[in-house]
Amino acid sequence: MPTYAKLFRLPPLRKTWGIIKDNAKRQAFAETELEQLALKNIARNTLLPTKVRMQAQLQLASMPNYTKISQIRNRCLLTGSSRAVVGQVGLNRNKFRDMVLKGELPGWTGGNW
Amino acid sequence: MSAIQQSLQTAKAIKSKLPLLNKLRSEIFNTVYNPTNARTGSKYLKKALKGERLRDYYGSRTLFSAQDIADQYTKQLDGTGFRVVNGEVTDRLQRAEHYRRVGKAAPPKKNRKSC
Repeated sequence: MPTYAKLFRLPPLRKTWGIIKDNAKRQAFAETELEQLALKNIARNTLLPTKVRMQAQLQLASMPNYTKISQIRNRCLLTGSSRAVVGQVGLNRNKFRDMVLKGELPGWTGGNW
Repeated sequence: MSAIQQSLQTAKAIKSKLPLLNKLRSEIFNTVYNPTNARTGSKYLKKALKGERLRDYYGSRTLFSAQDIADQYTKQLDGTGFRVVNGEVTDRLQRAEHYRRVGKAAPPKKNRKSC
């Protein structure tokens, strides 16, 4: 994974190891998505013989973990942290709050009550 | 009983013919005829693809740096007297030279015997 992850180019972000890895997983998933769906289609088809279905399921299971969608996690674009990321903006909650209070994000304002 | 009422079929008779109707319908509209609702895995083929959207979360991969452009034109501009200047690189070199002059630069590397 370490050498594999560095193959993929990233835009000029503040690169953390987490971002580099996550980016690699995203690229790998995008490349193998059709293959995964086709294998799933064969494996779940009850009209096909069981041997074919088993082979498809084994092939699906033998694919490396970093090609699976469940491994992908949204990360903060500025800090690279994976926790408390505001989905619509793609920022960690602290960065998000700072930018909102400065007025850098159009459409967002601080609370008032 | 009127003549119309006599010509009508019972509900049971109509229901027994419904599978035939469905089969005919699937042949006409070119759809799959699956009376027993057997699982064919077609829902995985109908799914919308999300790879494109997930791939570009950190930005598009087609982004390029200033150095990439500089590398393209260095060979073409060889004998012309023009040259491509990359601001980032020149800044870094100037900073390093400044540090060296002041005496704050990194020490020289030790000569390794073998590696």
